[in-house]
Amino acid sequence: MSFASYIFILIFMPLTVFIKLFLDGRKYYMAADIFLICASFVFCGFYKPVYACVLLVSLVINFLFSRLLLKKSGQKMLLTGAIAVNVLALFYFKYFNFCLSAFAKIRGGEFRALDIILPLGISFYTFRQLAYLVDSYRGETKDVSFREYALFISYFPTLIQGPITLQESFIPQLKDLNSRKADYTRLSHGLYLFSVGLLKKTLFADVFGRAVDTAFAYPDLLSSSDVILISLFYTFQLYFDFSGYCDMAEGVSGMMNIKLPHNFDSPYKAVSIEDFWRRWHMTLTGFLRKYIYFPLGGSRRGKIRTYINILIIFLISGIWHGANYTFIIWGLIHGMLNCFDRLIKKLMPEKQNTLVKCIRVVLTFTAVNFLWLLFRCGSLSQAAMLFGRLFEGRTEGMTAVISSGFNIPEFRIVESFVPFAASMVTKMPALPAYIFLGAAAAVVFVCRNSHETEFKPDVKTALFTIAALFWSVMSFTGISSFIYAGF
Amino acid sequence: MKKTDAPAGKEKKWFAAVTLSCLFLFVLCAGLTIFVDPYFHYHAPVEGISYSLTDGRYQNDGIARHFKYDTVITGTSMAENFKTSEADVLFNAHTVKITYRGGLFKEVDQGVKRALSSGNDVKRVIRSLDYSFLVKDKDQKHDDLDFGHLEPPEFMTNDNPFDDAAYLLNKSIFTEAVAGDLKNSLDGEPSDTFDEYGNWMAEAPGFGKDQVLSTYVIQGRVSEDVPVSEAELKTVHDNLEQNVIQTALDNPETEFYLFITPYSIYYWDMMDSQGKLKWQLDIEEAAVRQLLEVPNIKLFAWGDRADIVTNADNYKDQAHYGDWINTMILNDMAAGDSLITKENCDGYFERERELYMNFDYEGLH
Repeated sequence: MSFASYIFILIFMPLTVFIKLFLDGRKYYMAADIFLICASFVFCGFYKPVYACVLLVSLVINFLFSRLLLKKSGQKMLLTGAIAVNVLALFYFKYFNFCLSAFAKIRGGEFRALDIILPLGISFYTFRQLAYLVDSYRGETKDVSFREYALFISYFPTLIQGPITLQESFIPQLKDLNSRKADYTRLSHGLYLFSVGLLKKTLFADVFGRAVDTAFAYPDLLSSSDVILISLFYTFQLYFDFSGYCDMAEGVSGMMNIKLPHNFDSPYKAVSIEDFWRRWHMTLTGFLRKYIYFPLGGSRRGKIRTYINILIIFLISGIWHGANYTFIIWGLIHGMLNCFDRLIKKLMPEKQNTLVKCIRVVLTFTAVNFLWLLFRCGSLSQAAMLFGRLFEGRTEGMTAVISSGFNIPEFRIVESFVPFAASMVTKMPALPAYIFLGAAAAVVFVCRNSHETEFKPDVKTALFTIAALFWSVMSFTGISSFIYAGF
Repeated sequence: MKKTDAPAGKEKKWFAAVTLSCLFLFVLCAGLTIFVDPYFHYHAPVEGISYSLTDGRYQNDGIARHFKYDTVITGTSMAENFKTSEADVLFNAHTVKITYRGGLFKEVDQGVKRALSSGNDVKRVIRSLDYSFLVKDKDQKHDDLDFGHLEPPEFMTNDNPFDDAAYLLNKSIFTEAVAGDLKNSLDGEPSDTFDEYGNWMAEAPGFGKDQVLSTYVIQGRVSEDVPVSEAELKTVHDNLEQNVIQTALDNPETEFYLFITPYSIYYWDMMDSQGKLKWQLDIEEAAVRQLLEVPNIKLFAWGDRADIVTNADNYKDQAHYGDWINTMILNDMAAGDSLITKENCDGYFERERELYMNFDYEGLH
């Protein structure tokens, strides 16, 4: 199930929030937790029940491992084995076909992909469980019941795209019975945050996403400026989609009195790659730092070892994001840029004027923007083709076609009221796309993010929430434009 | 997000106001859409409302289910320019048109099935059969819709009421179709007619040799003929069996007026360049012979009419002819002209092969 769907907004979310708060209000805390677990499994297995089965099996096995780790302290072998089981499971579902294809290429043979499902959210709940196993090894999960563990792992707001919550921040909230009463402060704030996230997803991410999909369906036809355009489109798509999702997760979770960690802090305002990773997918960075970087020694074993550790972290991050060489290269480049940032950090003056900061933001954004293009490409050869196209100076492309998706009903409504708007769009078909880019850039570079702005339950926020929720739901489906090429 | 301290009562009111307002707006929007029902998903047109007929894939299913008629015109863009008013006169009928631009046989057949199960006493179905869609997988509904952003609207054609939210809470439908129909009604505009529905004559860039030649490029000519394979013949057979013939057999009281679309000589020029002239003719012959076995199928074809297919002024590209050809098709159907039968089909094939195998294609350029 997706947050941005009719069934979630109109049925699942209101029902789940209401029943959860009702049960908590009656002090049926166990029933409330069990209900939420069931709701999470329904959420997970809604389109494919097998996803819920995989989650259940993974959850049970890991809880048993964690219990063994608590009983027998200092069992490094047991911990290694438990981690290996999870990593192997993740490897099988996510990376087995990729490895088979790589192996076939080396041997020069034919590759036939196996029909392996990719269970929903497996990357996220695997990482959460790995963290939990390490915490169990350290004796930190003694008073966590199976019910609490099951809810922590299956919790539907965090299932598909995180944030990667840790037991130390999640479980105490379940045990804090005082915080489980229905609270209109949290309900209204949560609803507001959810609507902000939904608006980001439907009105920005999905619109950018359609243009990107169109372009990547015909990459050979792109001009040099098209490549720049779609890199920007994808950069904004990714941000609005991911941060929108996280806002929705925080919002719906907040309504149920469970606070989730922030995952984004205006990442495109970063002044360096190091700063970028302090603002982008913050819980992933936190997980990698706590459970991999620090155990490897962090920065305490000399400069060279520090840089190696950083590269390892980013290599793991790249691999975690997807089964393709593009993700690996993307991760490694980010790692190298991170090392470079550390190298030159000492050369940077502590206080920098606005101009210097702006230049650094632009440079960082440019690097991140083009690295996202690599992230999106289906193969290294496609990436090489697109990056090469950047420098070819090719003028003939498909700007009008990839921009056509930006002429959304909202613009057409404006065109019907503003006399010269329609003729402007006729003369400059890409104008709506540029307006969208401008609006996205303003939101990302100028506006304060949803965690910096103060929420006040007043008329302004009420009207915004109503408009955002209503218009976003109305935007879930459009009318297909069948531009039949043979016609 | 930082929260300010506000009285709990204020936030309770805020939450109640927002949720009730959203609920109200959803109900209002859905209610208006159900009432106007621009795509006839729930009911026939409401008297007093002026309906635009513009979105074939959204409206066809509703038209098939809720309108009253005894004749259906269907097919691809080859059938979009038919005038139902002409069919009404020629056949003394009450005709609707439900066409699927770019639709393969399966998609068109689904529309025909919907019409035949609508409760109307459907006496005849007039349907185009495109040459180029004969060799298509029987379960394929359409080719890649180039540059299309969204999938075709399954929610408009299935019987699942739960996905109707995509129709009832859809900003494009609400702001364009619902609001558009209401505005037209207030302005006193009449509803679109089926003559206008899907008609692309106004969109056509022009007709004639220069226009047609501008739509395709011959890369070079292959000297060897490409033979038809058994697999291709089976594909054609299965495609016709499932998506044309079975529906006719299931509805023996209905007459199926099918016609092979008279593509221009420029289409055959392209086939010739690819070595597929004989290939296409063999495919067509196999298809025709298969269709002639069905008693309630009347098959019409003009492939042997050099006066039509070689006249570039009839076409805007290799395949698409002007609406005067559609008029001619209807007239011939009503009069029984250009009807292919078991008795005359050999002569038809012979004339076709004579025309296309011996034509001077180089002279077209």
